[in-house]
Amino acid sequence: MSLIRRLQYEAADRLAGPMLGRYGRLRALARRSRGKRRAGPPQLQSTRKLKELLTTHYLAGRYADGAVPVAWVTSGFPVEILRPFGFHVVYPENHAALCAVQRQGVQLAQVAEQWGVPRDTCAYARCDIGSTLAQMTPVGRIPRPDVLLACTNICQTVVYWYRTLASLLNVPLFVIDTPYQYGEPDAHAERFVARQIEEAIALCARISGVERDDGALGLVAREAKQASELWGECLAYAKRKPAPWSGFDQFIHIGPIVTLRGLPECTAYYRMLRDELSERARLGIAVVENEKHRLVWDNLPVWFELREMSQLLAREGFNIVVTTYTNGWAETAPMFDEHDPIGSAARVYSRVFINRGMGHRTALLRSLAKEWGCDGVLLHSNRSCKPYSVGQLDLASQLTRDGLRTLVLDGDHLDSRSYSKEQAEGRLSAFMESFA
Amino acid sequence: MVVTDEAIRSYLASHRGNGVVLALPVLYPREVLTALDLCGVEVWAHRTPPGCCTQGAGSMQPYLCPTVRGARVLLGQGFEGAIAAVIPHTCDSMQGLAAIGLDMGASAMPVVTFRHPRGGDRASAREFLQAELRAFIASIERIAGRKLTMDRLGDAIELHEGIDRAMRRVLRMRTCIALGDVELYRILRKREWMRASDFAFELRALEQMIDSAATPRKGIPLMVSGMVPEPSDFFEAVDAAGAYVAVDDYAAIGRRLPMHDTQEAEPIGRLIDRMMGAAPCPTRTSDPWSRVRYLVERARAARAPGAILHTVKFCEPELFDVPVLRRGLEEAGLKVLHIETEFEPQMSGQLVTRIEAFVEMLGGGDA
Amino acid sequence: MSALRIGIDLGSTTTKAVVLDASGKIVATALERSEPRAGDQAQRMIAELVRKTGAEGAPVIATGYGRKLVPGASKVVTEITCHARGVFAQLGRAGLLIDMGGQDTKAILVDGTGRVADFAMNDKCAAGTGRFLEVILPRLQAPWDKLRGMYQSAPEAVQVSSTCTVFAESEVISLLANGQAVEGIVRGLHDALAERVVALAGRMLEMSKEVMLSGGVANNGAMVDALGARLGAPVTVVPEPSHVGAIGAALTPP
Ligand code: SF4
Ligand code: SF4
Repeated sequence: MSLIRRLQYEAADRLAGPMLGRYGRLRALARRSRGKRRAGPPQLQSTRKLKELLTTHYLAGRYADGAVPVAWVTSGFPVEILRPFGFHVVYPENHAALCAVQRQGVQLAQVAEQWGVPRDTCAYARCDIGSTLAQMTPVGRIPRPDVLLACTNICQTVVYWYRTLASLLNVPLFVIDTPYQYGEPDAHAERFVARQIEEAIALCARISGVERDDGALGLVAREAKQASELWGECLAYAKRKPAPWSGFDQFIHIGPIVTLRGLPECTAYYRMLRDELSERARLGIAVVENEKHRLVWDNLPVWFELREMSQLLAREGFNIVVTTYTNGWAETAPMFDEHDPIGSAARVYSRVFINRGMGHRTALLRSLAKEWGCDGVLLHSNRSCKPYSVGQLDLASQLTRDGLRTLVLDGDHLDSRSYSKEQAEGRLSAFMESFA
Repeated sequence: MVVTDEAIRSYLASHRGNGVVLALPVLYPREVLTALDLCGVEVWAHRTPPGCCTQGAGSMQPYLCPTVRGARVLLGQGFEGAIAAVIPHTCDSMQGLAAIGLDMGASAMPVVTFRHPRGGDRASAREFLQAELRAFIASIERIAGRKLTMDRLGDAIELHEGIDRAMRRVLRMRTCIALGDVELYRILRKREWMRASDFAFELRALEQMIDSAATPRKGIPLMVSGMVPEPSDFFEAVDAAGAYVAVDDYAAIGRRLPMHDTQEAEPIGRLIDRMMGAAPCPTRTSDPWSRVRYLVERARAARAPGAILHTVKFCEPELFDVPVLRRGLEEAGLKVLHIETEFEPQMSGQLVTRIEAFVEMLGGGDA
Repeated sequence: MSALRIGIDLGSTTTKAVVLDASGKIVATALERSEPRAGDQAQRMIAELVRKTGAEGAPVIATGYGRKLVPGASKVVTEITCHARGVFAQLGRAGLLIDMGGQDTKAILVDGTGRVADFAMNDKCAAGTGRFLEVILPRLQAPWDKLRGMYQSAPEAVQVSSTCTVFAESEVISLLANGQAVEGIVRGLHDALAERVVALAGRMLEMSKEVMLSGGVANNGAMVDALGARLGAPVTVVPEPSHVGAIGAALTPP
């Protein structure tokens, strides 16, 4: 790794990013003074910091390869183990979500389709494979990985996706398999996961040339636990009636807990967000004027329709206050134990809700609805994401029997070609009318 | 259709052994069922009642594969008094089906899961597989109300090894058997629902038909890779186009066969070897390039100039491999046709056209 | 015995027939909307052509969706092989032929001898075919012969994001309700279709220097423009675009 490259990387990470963030803020201010006033409460102050964090992350990424070891990882990979080795970590899922929000996802997916990936596959994978093939990205440049790391706790699809990347980029792939937990978590599966985490650590040490340091692993585990707990506190503020923030906000603010988990800036960020939410709650600021009904959201968001959908709901006094997806990052991470970083990581990552049976899913949805005071559930039937979507129809009938209003909404988290806006909005409106 | 429910039902009327178990695709330790004298009936497309797709659509999204959608219906209805359903972890959708069967009251019978480790053959994976096999055996024992002895398991494994050897031989000597693909597969696919001892008998008859002096089959030899040959008039289309299946890489048939004999003595170890040693398959997350190497070698041995990738609609494991397989096979000089079927009762005219055009192309366009 | 030969292409939307002389020149053509009794229709069309051209006893080669239904056909060949042969007879060079018909769209890589080197065909879905336009255009009251003018005069394309024909139809209705210009939508629709075609052709595009267009949709200038724009290179419209398959059939050795 060259020294100059390293300096560039550090400079981008420490200085240029924050400056860019500030520049963005100035531009936003200028826009605001010119532009029309947005409906609803002002944006969360923390959003600026969020942009700054993510901008820095992506900017530093441009100079990362050649400076520090680079890993591309899935959202459910135990990223904590990478931190002590100084990896720059890229999250293709996060990147794909970003492309989707900016409505560039389909264009990139089409590159992959033309290359041969069939359309009936997860659109995150297609978008990312397309981005890799065309070397196109809205963030400027993504650093080339030294290693690909996938964990099956979110799906098996990631293995197929990452294998494709491995053959395109000609880099090694390491898979941590977290066997699905149908019922109660079982010891032999978690032992298997722990062993694989050990194997992954050895691999990272080899790639980075840095020796394994168990003390450092413990510290990172502590940091990750803290950040996740703070994230959980943030989510809990939405239990207030009216809620100071919404599920749609949570989808945006989830970025750091997914991508920067285990780093101090992540923890600091959620402390700031928590404080702001607590202030909002104290002042009684509501994110939806006239909040009348509160809903749970299941599955990933329809990224490219986030704004439109939240406005459609807010106009009628509906607010999504909690989602299974954003809650996922607060659900198991408190199990981190700094004195047993590997064993606890095995538990944390095996017990992710999407790696658990339908009994757990049902109980989870019930308790989210109850604790967040919801009277309805929106289940996004996501054509792209089979693991998250199988069983939703059973789930919906169960929840209906429990007395909740439910709607299964057909969509896709990235591919707008398989989404009918007209149909979806019509169904949402009818759903809201049924509350009257 | 290769076999109808009727064929299975009438077989089961006199050969149900000590009970019937439904088994879902694709890899599970069938030897354990044999050892407990259970008759495992596999649920692929044709075992599901007609109209299952529309029925299943009530409780399963239409963008899930027809295997899972159809199996859902059968799971709910039961089949021939099956005492359990074995659902291996094949893919995200199959895993979801097992979860629904276990927890959402969607199964008329107890569900037994089996998780094959993903991410390749390594010591940790073997250790997990061992524990998983023991847990699987314990669940089946509980449901069957009988204990499994290691001796009986050893015998069952030996029986299956013999079957595997015979099947490999039949598939390799394919051109020297005077049977059309339709008839050949009618026999080979009995493995999916016959007890091993009965199937071994059928296979022996087939082996006796191998006649190495016979003039080799006419037509263009093809390699076919996919999940399951459904709808079964696929073979008729191939035949009518002037070709035949020379290399079988169906997950339901040839792909399940272990590539080598195991040296392991202890039964559980043997089972592990057999599973880990099966031909590369995306449901076990095998590396696609290892699939390419394996397939190219077999296509060359059979002098097949073309390969049909026959995937099931919405089957992610197979679909993700298509681009790499296509490239790898083409680089090796094979022509590739990708078709998708959805277990429709018949091949569409469109698919038949594609197969015919493919064979015309392989024939040098002199049609 | 005449030296004439007859090719008939029974498509799912239209049935086409040609009579060629010994040198391969077109003597007569016919085109009708396909009827439910494809065999009877084919027989009648052939009889009429025979009467017109005196092609008694000429070999009849059948291709297309209903190819197996033609009584007395001397040979039956798929439309893929026939299109390659037909386009090669017309243009005399290798290329990538896109044939856009009513129900299906084919991409055929034709080599330097008129043979198929590779091909792809859309799946069951109508999204990438002429059917897509046939369903949606009436909503816009855009006449077929005005499409090219509308396509070219649109200041920009109104994006139609759904590829599913049914979804796209409701999308178009709501675009109209939102006051979007018909021209822009026409452009957006054709661009979307061009995108589907490119996805279908996939890597074959890289393997060929020239893209040729045939099938009924080739008569639609807007589609020719859209495809050319998407590919960044002009598209060659094959002469007698609807009859390429039938010509290829007639040229097939009986
Ligand atoms: S969207 Fe679903 S299928 Fe795609 S990578 Fe994420 S969890 Fe896997
Ligand atoms: S998606 Fe594929 S592997 Fe999974 S059950 Fe369906 S056919 Fe089998």
